[in-house]
Amino acid sequence: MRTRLVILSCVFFLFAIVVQAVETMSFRIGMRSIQFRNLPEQRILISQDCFKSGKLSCLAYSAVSKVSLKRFEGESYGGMNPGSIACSKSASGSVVIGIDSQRNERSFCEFKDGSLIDTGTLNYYARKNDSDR
Amino acid sequence: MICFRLMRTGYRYQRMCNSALFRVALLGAVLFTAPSVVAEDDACGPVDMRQPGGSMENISVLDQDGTGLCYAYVATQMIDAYRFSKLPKPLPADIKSWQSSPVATAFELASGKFYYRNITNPFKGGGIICDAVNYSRKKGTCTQQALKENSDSGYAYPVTSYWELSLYLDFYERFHRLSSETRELENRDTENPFIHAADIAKRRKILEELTAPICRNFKAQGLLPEGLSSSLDALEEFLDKNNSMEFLLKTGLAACSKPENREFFDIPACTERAVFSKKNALKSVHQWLNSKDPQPMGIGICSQLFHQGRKYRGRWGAALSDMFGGTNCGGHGVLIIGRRKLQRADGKSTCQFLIRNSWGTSCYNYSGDWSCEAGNIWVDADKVAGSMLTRSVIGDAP
Repeated sequence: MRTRLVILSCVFFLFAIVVQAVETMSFRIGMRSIQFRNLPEQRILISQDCFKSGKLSCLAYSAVSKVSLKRFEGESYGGMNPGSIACSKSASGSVVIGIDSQRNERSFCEFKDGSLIDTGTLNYYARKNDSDR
Repeated sequence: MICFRLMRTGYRYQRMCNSALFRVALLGAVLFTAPSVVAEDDACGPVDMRQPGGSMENISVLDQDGTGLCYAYVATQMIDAYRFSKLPKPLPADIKSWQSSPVATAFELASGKFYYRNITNPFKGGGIICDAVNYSRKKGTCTQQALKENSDSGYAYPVTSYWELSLYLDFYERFHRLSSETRELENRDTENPFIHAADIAKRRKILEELTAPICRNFKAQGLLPEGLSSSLDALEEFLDKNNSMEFLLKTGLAACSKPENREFFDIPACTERAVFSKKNALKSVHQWLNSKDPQPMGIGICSQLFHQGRKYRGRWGAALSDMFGGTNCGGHGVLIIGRRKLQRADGKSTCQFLIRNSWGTSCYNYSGDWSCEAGNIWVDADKVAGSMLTRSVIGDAP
């Protein structure tokens, strides 16, 4: 009985952490308003449609493990956003600009299946992948 | 004079800079011209220009995408901070709509200056902050609002990012290629006139299909340049007369030519100084931030500092080419918009500068060493000064 209680408490505790860690954000991209989920621990901001049955499954999420900036270092001039370069050159996506309620901008990488991911996330994982390889 | 160019934001001659002869020459120049060491100003009183009443209160965080126009983003934000802070209070509720378009500024500058048009290709990025500020003093700036009004209308996207820019450029290139191929066919003698005519007709149909949406959208948005009808021949003639940059200015940025979409202002000239000493750079920034109602300072900086964090050795501690913005530096333009004293866990304190970047509100771009607030990052003052290439301000540089 005591063990069950401990296990249940742990499950509840973990659930609370997961719920707390997932934030939703909304950006206007052109005339569309798109919902995103933020996973700060993993440094991922990804479109809501990538969450299917509690799992992440879309082209935007697949790009995270493959993206790289190694071959494109020489192509960055004038302080280009490195995440944009990772998106268009390495991940075969196209960059779109999202606007928040305060008129601030944030670029996203859009894929053929319509899924979107923050270019900052791509920049982070491109550097991580390059240093791990 | 190329050395001088390298110290500017977004430089593009890194291969030349990496040559041994060049390095020796540059070292000589640095040692010869470096000013004497100046005592560091250790005052680190809090400054945050984003706070109510601050010069950056109404300036949005922007994302330059892959445009490489960081210098224009810095310049327009310096201009807007200055002009907004001089407007009578209270400011109108839609004040953020009247921010200047950095992309329009960069392309207008390029159309007016040979150097930017042919040497610093605006499609590849790179430029000088004060060039953009001083150009805008004379010609005014185009508002973001004027360009955003036409959002989501096919080819008539407002040109505010590389993504939108590429739509125009793709169209221009595809149209030109097809058009010249068609004309070549029309002028060629052929043995079988039936096949020849069919081939031409097929190509003209493709051209018309390509042309129809852009003409329709331009017409709907009132963006059709004067004298250009929706006919294919007229468009062909128009494209023949204009290069890709002129085409962009007369179509995607056409709204900027209307007087009601331009902002004119009376601001002091911008002054830009190259940085030759870390201590001098630190002193200048502190001095600027200590002024009454401070304005943002544009700086050229090694962007690797943002990725690598405290382990980045800075401009003076790495390879010689990095002193002038080489590969391991990644020359970039940003703004300094604040200062604070960070109390560390060991009881000591570190002075930090608040940096406004142009990579959007994402904080995932930056090293965990720096705390990030929606695209604004707090970076150790010492590290910023050690990675600075230039400093630019509206008014007299400290």
